[in-house]
Order: sequence, then C-alpha cells, then structure tokens
Amino acid sequence: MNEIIFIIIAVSALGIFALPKRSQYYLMLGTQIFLAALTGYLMYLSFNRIEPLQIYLFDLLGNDVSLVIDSLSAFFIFVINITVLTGALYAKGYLKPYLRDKTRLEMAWHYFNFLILHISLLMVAMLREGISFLVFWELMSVSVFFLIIFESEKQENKEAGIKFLIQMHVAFYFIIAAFIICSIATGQNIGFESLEQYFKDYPAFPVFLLFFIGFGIKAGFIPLHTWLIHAHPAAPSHISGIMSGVIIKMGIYGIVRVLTYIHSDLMPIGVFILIISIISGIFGVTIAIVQHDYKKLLAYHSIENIGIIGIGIGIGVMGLAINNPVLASLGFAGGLLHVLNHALFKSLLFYAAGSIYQQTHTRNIENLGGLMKKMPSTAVFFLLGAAAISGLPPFNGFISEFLIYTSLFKSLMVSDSILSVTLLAGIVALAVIGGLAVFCFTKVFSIIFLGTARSDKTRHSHEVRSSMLFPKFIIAILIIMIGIMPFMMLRPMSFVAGVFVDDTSSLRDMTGTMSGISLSLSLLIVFIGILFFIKLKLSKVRHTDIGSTWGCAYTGSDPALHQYSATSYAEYIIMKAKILVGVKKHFRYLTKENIFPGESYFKTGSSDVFEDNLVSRPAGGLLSFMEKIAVFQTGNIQHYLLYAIVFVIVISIISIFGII
Amino acid sequence: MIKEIKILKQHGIQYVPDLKGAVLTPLFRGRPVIKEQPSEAETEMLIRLCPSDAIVTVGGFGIDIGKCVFCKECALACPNKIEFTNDYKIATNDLNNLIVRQGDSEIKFNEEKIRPEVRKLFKNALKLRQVSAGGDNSCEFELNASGNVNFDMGRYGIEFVASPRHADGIVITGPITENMAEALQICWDATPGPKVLILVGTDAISGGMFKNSPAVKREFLDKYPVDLYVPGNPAHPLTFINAVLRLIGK
Amino acid sequence: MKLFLETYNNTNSVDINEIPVLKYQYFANMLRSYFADSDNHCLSYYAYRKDNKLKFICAIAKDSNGKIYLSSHELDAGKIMLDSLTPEFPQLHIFEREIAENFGITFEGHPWAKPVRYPFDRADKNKVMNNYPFYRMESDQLHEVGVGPIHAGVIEPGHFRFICNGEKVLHLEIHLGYQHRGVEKLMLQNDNRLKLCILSESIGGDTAVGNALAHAQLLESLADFEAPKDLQIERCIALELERIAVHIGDTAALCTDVGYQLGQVVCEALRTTIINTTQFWCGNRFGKGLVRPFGTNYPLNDKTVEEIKKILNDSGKRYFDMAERIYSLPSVLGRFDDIGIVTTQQAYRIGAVGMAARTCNIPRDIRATHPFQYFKTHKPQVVTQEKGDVLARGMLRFLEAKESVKYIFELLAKWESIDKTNLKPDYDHKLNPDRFAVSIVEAWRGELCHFAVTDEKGNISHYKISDPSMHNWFALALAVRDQEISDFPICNKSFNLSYCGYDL
Repeated sequence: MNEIIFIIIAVSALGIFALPKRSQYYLMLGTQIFLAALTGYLMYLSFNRIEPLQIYLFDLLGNDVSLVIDSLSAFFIFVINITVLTGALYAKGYLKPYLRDKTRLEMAWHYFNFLILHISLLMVAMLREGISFLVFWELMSVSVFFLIIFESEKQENKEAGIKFLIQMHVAFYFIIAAFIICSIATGQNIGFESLEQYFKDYPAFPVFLLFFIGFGIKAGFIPLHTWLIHAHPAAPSHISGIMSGVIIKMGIYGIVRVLTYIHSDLMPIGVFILIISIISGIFGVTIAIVQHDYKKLLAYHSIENIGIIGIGIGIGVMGLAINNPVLASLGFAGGLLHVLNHALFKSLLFYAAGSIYQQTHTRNIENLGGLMKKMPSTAVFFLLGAAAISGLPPFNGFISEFLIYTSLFKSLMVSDSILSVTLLAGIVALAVIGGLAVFCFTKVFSIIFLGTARSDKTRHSHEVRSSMLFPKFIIAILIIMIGIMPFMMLRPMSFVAGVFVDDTSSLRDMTGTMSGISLSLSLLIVFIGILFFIKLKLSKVRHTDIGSTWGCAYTGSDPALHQYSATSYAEYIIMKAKILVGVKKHFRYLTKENIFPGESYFKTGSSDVFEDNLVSRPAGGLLSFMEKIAVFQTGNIQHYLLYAIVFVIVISIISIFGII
Repeated sequence: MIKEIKILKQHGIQYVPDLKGAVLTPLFRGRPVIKEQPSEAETEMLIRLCPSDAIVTVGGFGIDIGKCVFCKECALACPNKIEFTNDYKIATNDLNNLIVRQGDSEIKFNEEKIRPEVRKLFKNALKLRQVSAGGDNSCEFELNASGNVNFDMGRYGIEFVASPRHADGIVITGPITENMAEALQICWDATPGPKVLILVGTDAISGGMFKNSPAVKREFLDKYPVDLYVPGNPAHPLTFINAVLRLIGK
Repeated sequence: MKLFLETYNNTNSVDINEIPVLKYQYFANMLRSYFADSDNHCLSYYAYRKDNKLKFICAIAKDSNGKIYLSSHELDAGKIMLDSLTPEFPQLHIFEREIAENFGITFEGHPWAKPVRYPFDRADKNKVMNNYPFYRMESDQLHEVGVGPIHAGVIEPGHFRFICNGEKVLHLEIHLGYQHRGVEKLMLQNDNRLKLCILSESIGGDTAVGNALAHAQLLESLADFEAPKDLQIERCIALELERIAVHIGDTAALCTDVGYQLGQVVCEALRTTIINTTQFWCGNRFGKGLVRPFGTNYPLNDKTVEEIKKILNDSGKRYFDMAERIYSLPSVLGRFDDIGIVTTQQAYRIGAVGMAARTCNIPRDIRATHPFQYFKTHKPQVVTQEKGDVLARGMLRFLEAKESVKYIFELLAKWESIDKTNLKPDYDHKLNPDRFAVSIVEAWRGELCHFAVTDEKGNISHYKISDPSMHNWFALALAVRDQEISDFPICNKSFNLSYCGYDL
C-alpha cells in the first residue's frame, strides 16, 4: 500500500517535467489534492484515539521509520493542507502573466518544488525518527529556496534567497547539534524519541535552548528573524502566503514537539519563551508601522504573530510548571489556534497583496491609493484580513487572542506575585500589540485603497480574475466561521492541548462563553445588516446629488496631494519608536533663516536594528577581514609553493621538539 | 477661580433681550427718509455727489439703499429734504423695495416672494455658510458679531457652519471678485438643496463702489434667485438678524 | 549727484521732477548703503507708467530722524529685464514681485518670483489663480494640506498650502488675490473725490479710520494744507479708538482658538462697547464717515467726550483685568508660549513692520518715528515685546491698548483746552499740480502708506497703496515653519493680517 502511494506521488512529481506548460499546473494541483485527502484521512483517524496513530514506512539503517500522528501533528497537517491548497489555487491566476516569459523547464521546476514542499511539510509534521526528519527538513528549506528565487532576474531576489538558505542552514546545524547531544548522551538513535530519555536525566534548559534557536530561526522570533524580512517580499505572493502561513509554523511545531518531552525546568523555559515572544510581538509590529513596502510590512506582522503564538505557548508551559491546568490548556489552545488563524488571515493578506502587485507593479504604498474603486473585491478581502489580524470580532483572530487573554486573567488570581507580574506583562504586551496592529492596518488599508491615486501606477488596475478571488473567498469563509462559531474549534483544540495537559476541562468549560460570544456577534451582524438595509431603502426615496469632495473651493489643485501619506500617518509612532526602528531621515529641515528655500528633498528609510547589529555588521566585519587575508592569495604559484614549504618546516619543528 | 468669578460678575448679563425692539444710537445711519422732493438743481447736485449712484430719478426721486453706502453726504447737503434715521430694519427680499421714496415709512418685505419650503424647513434652525467674495472685512466682522454674546443669534437656531455640506444657505459679502467667482460657484454647488441665498452689505447687493471695476464678476447672481438682501455699509448685526428672522418667519 | 530727495511724513508734497532719477546700478548701490543700516527700511518700491517709460519709485524710511528718502529710476519701453535686489535685501521681494506681475518685468535672480495678487490688469494673463507655482519638496512621503479659499469661519478668503510630515509643518506658502477689486485703478476717478474717500475706507473695512486718515492726509499734503489742532486731535482719538477696539477683538479671537471661553465672551462684549462708542460719535461702528479730508462731519462735542471717557474708564479697566487673567493662566500660556516664533533677525530681513516688528523687539512705530497729525506734538509710548511668539503678540495688544487708553485721556484733556475750528470736509479743494506726496499712518496693524502723483492739472494721475500686510504675510509663513499644524490658527490670528488690504 505504501509503495503504491509512493510510486503515484513520484510519477506525478516527475511527470510535471514532461507536460506542456498549461497542464503542468493541473498535475501538481491534482497531486496536492490527493496528498491532502490522504493525510486528511489520517488526521481524522488520529483525532479519536488516545495513543498516536502509527504507520510503518520503511527501514533506515536499522531503524524503523514510521509516521507517528498525534493530535498535534494532525492539527498541523490540517493547517498545512488548507494553506498549501489555497495557495495552489491562487497560484494559477497569479502565475498566468509569467507563463509567457518563463520556459517550460522553469515553470516545471517551480511546480515540482511546490509539490516537494507540500510533501516535506507533511512529512516533517508526521515523522519522529531523526534522520528522516532532518532530511525532509532540509528538503523543505531547499525547495523553498528555489521557490523564492522564481524571479531570479532581480538581484535582490537572489540575495534574499541566499540569505534564506544560509540562515536555514545555520538553524539546521543547531538542530543537528541538539539531536546529536541527545543521542550521544542517551545512547539512542537520533530522533525525537531520544529526547524523552534525555530530558529525564539531564537539565532541560541548555538543549532546549539549542532547539529553540534552531527552530526559532525558522519561526522568525526576534532576533533570529532577519531572513524573513527579505524572503517575503522577494518571493512570489503565493509562496509568501504559504511561507507566512505554514513554513514558519513548522518552527513552532518543532519547538512545541520538543516541549512535549520536557517535564523539568519548565518555569524558566516558559518565562524565556514568554519574554522572547513579547519582544518579538512588540518589535515586530512597531517596525511594521514604519515600512513603506507592503510585503515587508506583512512579513514583520508575521513576526508579531509568531510573538503572539509564543506568548500563548509560553503561558502554557508556565501553566505546566505550576501545575495549573487552566493556564496550561487555555494557553496552549490559544497559541496553537492562533497558528491556524494566522495561517488563514496572513495568507489571505498575502494573496490580496499579490493581486495588488500584479495590477500595479509596485510594492510601495506611497504610490497607491483609490484602489477600492478599481479592485473592490480584493479591497474587501484585504479589509477582512486586516480586521482579523488586528483581533477584531467577529473574526478568528479575536478568538485565539481571547483564549490567551482568558488564560492570563484566570490565572492572575491564583499565582504568586512574581508570576502575577509576568502574567500582567503578558496581558499588557498583548494589548499593546493589538493596538499597534490596528494602527498599522488602518494605515495600510487606507493608503492603498481609500482616497485617490497618489501616482499613475494604479491607472491600469482592474479587479483580478476570479481564479485568484476564489481561494481568498474560501479563506474568508473559514475566518468568519471560526469567528462566529468558535465553539466548534473547542473540541479539536482540547485534543491538541491534551498532548500537553491531562485536564483540559477548562477548555470545555469555555463552551458557554464561546457560545455567548458567537450569539452576540451574530446578533450584531444581523443588526448591522438591518440598519444597512433600512438606510438603503431610505436613500432610494430621497434625491441625492453627487459632487466632488469639498476642498475649501480651491480650484487648481490635484486631490492626490492633499491626502495623508503613509509616512505622515505613522509619523507619531515613528518618532516614539526611533531606537527600535532605526529610522534614517535624509532631509535638512528648512530653517527660518532660509527665507526663500531652494530645492530640497525629503526621504526616510528604515533599517532593522537587529539585522544591522547581528547580521550586517558581523558579516561586514567578516568580509573586510577576509579581504585583508586575501592578500595571501596572490595567484602566483611560487608563493603557494613557499607557503607549502613554510608549513612543512613549521610542522617539522613542532613535531621534533614535541610541542604537540 | 476667584478672579474668574469677579470678572463674571462685572461682565453681568450681556445679551440684548429684545433684538427686534432694540434702539441704536441716534447718529446711526439707518433707513433714509425723504421728507420733501428735492428740486431739479438739487437732484443734479446730489447725483453728482453720490459716490455710488444710489440716487433714483425714474418714477420720482428715490434713494436705492441697495446701492447706498450710507455716507450721509446727501443728507448733509440737503438737510431739509433727506434725513437718515436710526431705523436698522432695512432688509427685504425684493430689490424693488430697496428704493426709498417720499412717504415710505419702512422697508417692506414681500411675503409672496418667500418660497414656502424656506418657511417650512428653516423656521427653527438655519445653518448658513458665509462666503467672502471680495468683502472689505467690515461685513465679515459684523456677521461674526451677530453670533457673539451680545447679539446671540444662536438663540434662534441661526448659525454659521464650516462646511457647505452642513449648510442650508449661502451668505455672500463683497462684490464677487473675478478671482473668487469660481470658488463661490463651487461652494454653491456643494450646498445641498433646498438652499437660500442671502446678500449682505452694499457691495454684495449691487457691487457698491466696485460695480464698474473690471476685477469684479457678478454673473453668479443672474443665475440664482436671491432670498434676502441685507443693506448696510457694513450691515449692522441687528439688521442681519432681524432680516433672517423675518425670512424664516419667527 | 543727489541720490535721494528728503521729505517728511504728512507735510508738504514734493515736486515730482525733483526726485532724482538714477541709473539702476547707482540705485542699487544706494539701496545697499541704506539697508546696511537697520535703522532704514523700505516703505514701498513700485512702478508706474509715465509717458512711454516705466518709472520706479522707492521710499525709504529712516527711523531715527523721521525722514523719508525718495529715489527713482526709469526703464525705457521695451526693456523688461532688471537684476533683482532681493537676494541681498529680502525685504524687497514682495515689491519686485508686484512690479513683475503688473508690468511683466523679469527680475533676474529673484529667488521667489511668484505672482502677488492676480490683478485684472496683470501683464501675463496666462498666470491664473489655478496655476500658482507652489514650492514643492521632492518626496512621495510628505503630504500637503491646502486650506481655503473658503475657510471654516467667517473670514476673508486666501489659500494656505502646508507641506507636512505628520503633524509638523515643514513649509507654508500663502496664496492670496481672491479679494482683488482693482482699488488702485478706481482711485483715479478725479471727478468725485467723495468716491475716493469711500473707496479708501473700503480698502480694509477693519482699518477704515486708518485708511481714510491716510487718504485725507495725502490730499492735504498735495494741497499744502495743515489741519488745525482740534481736527488733528479728533483724528488721533478716532485712530486710537479703532486700535483699542481691534486689539480687544483680537484678544477675544485668541481666546476662542485656545478654548478659553470666559476670555472670549468678555472681550467680545468689551469690543462691542468700544465700537458702539464710535457709533455714538459718528453713526458707524467702524468709523466710516468720520475722517474726511480738510474737515470732518462729526466734530467732537461734550456729549461724545463724556461717552468716550465713561466707556474707556469702565471697559478699559475690565479689559485690563481680563487680559491680566488671560496672560497669567497656565493653560492659556501653554498654548501661546514659544509658539510661532519669528526672531528679530528674521523680522529685519523680511522687512516686517508694525505689530509684527514690534513683537520682535524692532521699535517701528510711525507715531513715534515719523509722527503725523497730533502725534507730532504729543508722542505716544511705543510698546515692544522681545520674544516674537504668539504670547508676545497677545501681550503687545494688551499693552498697546493700555497705552492707547491713557493717550486718549491725555488728548481729551488737551482738546478741552484748545479752540475748536469745526472745519467741514472739502471735496473740491484744489490740489497742486506735478506733485508727489507720501502719507503714512500707523494703523493698528502697522504702517499704512498712500502715495499719489498729480498731473499738470492737479488731478491724481497715479495712486499707490501699501498695506502693512504686504510686508508681514511672509512673517506668518516663517513663524509656522517647524510648528505643529494645529498651532496654525492661533499663529494666524495672532498676526491678524489683512487679506483685502494686500489684495486691493
């Protein structure tokens, strides 16, 4: 049975290369649907069991390699499938303009890597054995690399891809190192199984830290996030959506999987995760506010949401540490539900962004404006995604954040003072993040869609074709469903949280609250609908004049000028966040001495403080050091012979005198 | 705090209780009265003297207070024939009623000309948008004063608003300069109907001293019916308020 | 070679042909040597057509000796290019722009060559209100805010263009011209001099007494007529009453803008009492009709004097109490202090005059430096402030009103002791032919200059009006730089410049 499935998949994957351009896509889509159906069935099977579902695959170096699917893996399988499938659906419309310029081989390679990505994502979520896990982990990184540099004609995309690849390998080494330590110390094979024994015998924090750094680079915690910033804008939008939606969540999966084996040192680990997550959340959203490039902005928001997920997980771990099942189950449930929610609304936002890019060919929001009239459906989807990411009811972001808030508030009372302070910090941080997120998205939405065009980049824009709207529609439905009917997620999440906590009754106790929320939100929507309907009826009766916006009757002006620019809107926050954000202004203020000013210009740019200090500076330092050493590389063979002779002489002296 | 109370006590009650019955200082140049018809020679002299061509000879001697700048030189030249009273109720909605003839004892309002929707909609609240189309700032000061603590037209629901979209009508001061004509039109178009058009001050009603200036362009007034003419140089707040009250039927 | 002709304010006119006509580079050198001394400032610099040439007249005032220096240069028909003097003397910018607009002269090197008021007889009809060349900054991250012409309140029209980064204003440009009625051309209607009096009052209705006085003085200079003492005193009292009324009104406006309601209503009520006094005196709340050349229709009488004394005693005291309270209230001071600063140096360079100059510690007050009417005999106290911010401008109004009240009482005392002539206005008084006269009045905004040239028949052949706002609008543009845009209304109200006086 397994072999048949394997052969089908392999043939489909390779068959992509054999087909003409138009049909390649359908083969890939079909294979992905097949995979999703298969794993969906496995997921269904695993949810109703106490023990994880095990399916033997093959032998590797004397070890069994099996698919081990517990509720956690099943949940991630669900997230992966939804995101990859909607991404694939979206890709059809998005890639259409590229079909003309790219060769058959290039497109086939892209679809092939897409398929490999799906496979490796699924396998990573289902495998426990170390070597196969690592192989598929590496495969995941490599396939994403090729997907990112789809538009490799642009230098910046190639650079982004290389940055991504290098950082993924740094992460890889940390993970391997951690696995090796565990394997050597316990004598078992490399894999997650060895962690069980290791964490029983040794202190958990150091190895956990290694795992955290390795998986954290993938997830995008600050200060490990610098690849994210470049990869997201560089990649084509369907890949950006999947990257933010699922790939970085595999980092979370790794951390959480490691956590399932840890039963000591829980408090420091929990606090550590909480603090890093708070920092990621706040920094992420603040830096997002300064960006002019909407894809970079969405990338920073992904970092912020990883922070929110981490807050949930950190709280959960802390709950485990003090044996508080309420804190633990609600925390884990909230954090992991946010994984799903974020996958949904972030991919929605990236797909909407992709549509905008396709129509306007610019990623700079300062050049857009007035797109609501030209691309109304995309605007509505973007608005939906924006409302969801800000945590506004009646959408799904509200539900996961609500769960995390509940866990925090419920546990405030029953904790000691230091813990309470930490929990309070969590509440405050969540609130600040939420507020700043709203600020950022009002800016983005308004500048892009409202008002009038700020440049002529939008002149030829029109609504995108329905193949690109359809996946957004599906995601929107899911977002609204989770938002209005949150109780339907409680049971699955209690299974997921059950992997960590034995007593998940507090989750089931939330049913009442969730139903209450759902009822009031539905009523609210109905009420708004009625009001809108009444207004529509009333305004049909009255006569309406339509005129241009009142502009103090100035006759000569260009309305585009008199709208807020994004920088102006965000100026207040930018001023306050100067240290974090590293804003550079290229500008000389017009002094009052300069009575009749001549030409002047104004430009602000921002740089990521972490990137500057952790990546660019050391890399720059390393490069300049290398340049100095390059002095030895003269290209002259006589010199190389001299080096060899010197080396031999030195070794001889050393060994003769027995120094070594 | 104590200081504020002291100042408030000195301030006392400032509003004019009866805006319709208030009496202005005796020298106030309000409605002119023609006591006796001037002779031919006097009429000639007055026509040459009047700086704004307000002397009417067709159909008998008259003074057109839509054109009059209230300088009173005609009364000073012929004190037996012409006198300026301190009657400030000199507004009307009919241009013809602005011509004062011998025997006239008041400036009449033409009730038929008032559009019914004006009485129906604006009786209790009239929001106005003021447009200064070349006014010399004295009418603007007086319109501002109409809302101040002494005259307080806000007690009748009359108010100046910032946006024409919120307004029920436009009040124009100034002779409508060419440079302002387009802006005035835009403002008029931006006001939702039904709307009133009020002209305040001699400059607005007839162009005043500037009616023959090439910098002035008054075609706007040919296009739309005017609901109220408020003469004066500048129009006293009591004139304006009483005029508007008369228009809306209070 | 004589470089200039000396004269004084409001005395005899001069022979137009005696004004030296220099070659342009000597003219420029003369200006260089004069403006190097900050005691001198340019009253006006304008041009008019004479035969088939363009005659440029420049009037410079020296504060320390009360003299006015007149000089001129000419440009032949067909020549349209001159070197601009603005880079060296920014205070000339507005005058060169006005000449360029009216006659199509190009001032080479002018750093801010933009239209002034779009008069109906401008040289280049392609320049219209719609295409004013605003200063732009190259950026797609800044936004511009354009307010006007129709503003939120009941106020004259004008367009303000801000370049903003967030809430901070980087640059403000002011574009006027909406009120242009062609006053200067209408002032040449020699058939009826009453028209000219009414027109003068209409130049700026809030400065009716000031403008009427400048005009009356001008005609009296052209006729070599000196007003008798009682007329002089009455004119000065009328001018000071106007000053007090407007200052109280400005204080009310400033309080409105910062939300201090008590200050607003009290000052509004007090202003009403002052202008009702003017109405009691002459029948018009703005003093229209009060000042006429060669006489007056409304001489002071005992009843009016009683009324003035009564009101000034009562309202004056109440105003001073209120103003002391306003300028000691921390919430009000927080809005006024250090906002909209114009430094002394900047004020000198742009040639600020009147109140805008006095708040920057420049004691330019025509009543003291080039006195006219009764100010010659009895000089008032000049009030200055140092900081040049909104608080200084508010305080200046308070202190000047105080001075004016004191001064009026002194004048009334004098009036009671002298003989009354009760001259009547004369609209047909002959004017001397081929003369040039200067008449400057310190209206409440600043120095108001009227210049006229008569032809060989004694008719006015050219009339020039120079409102203090011509110099001072640029001070507002400078004051707002680097301020928050929400502070713009109080900066604007603290200057309270004239739109219609600028637009003519």
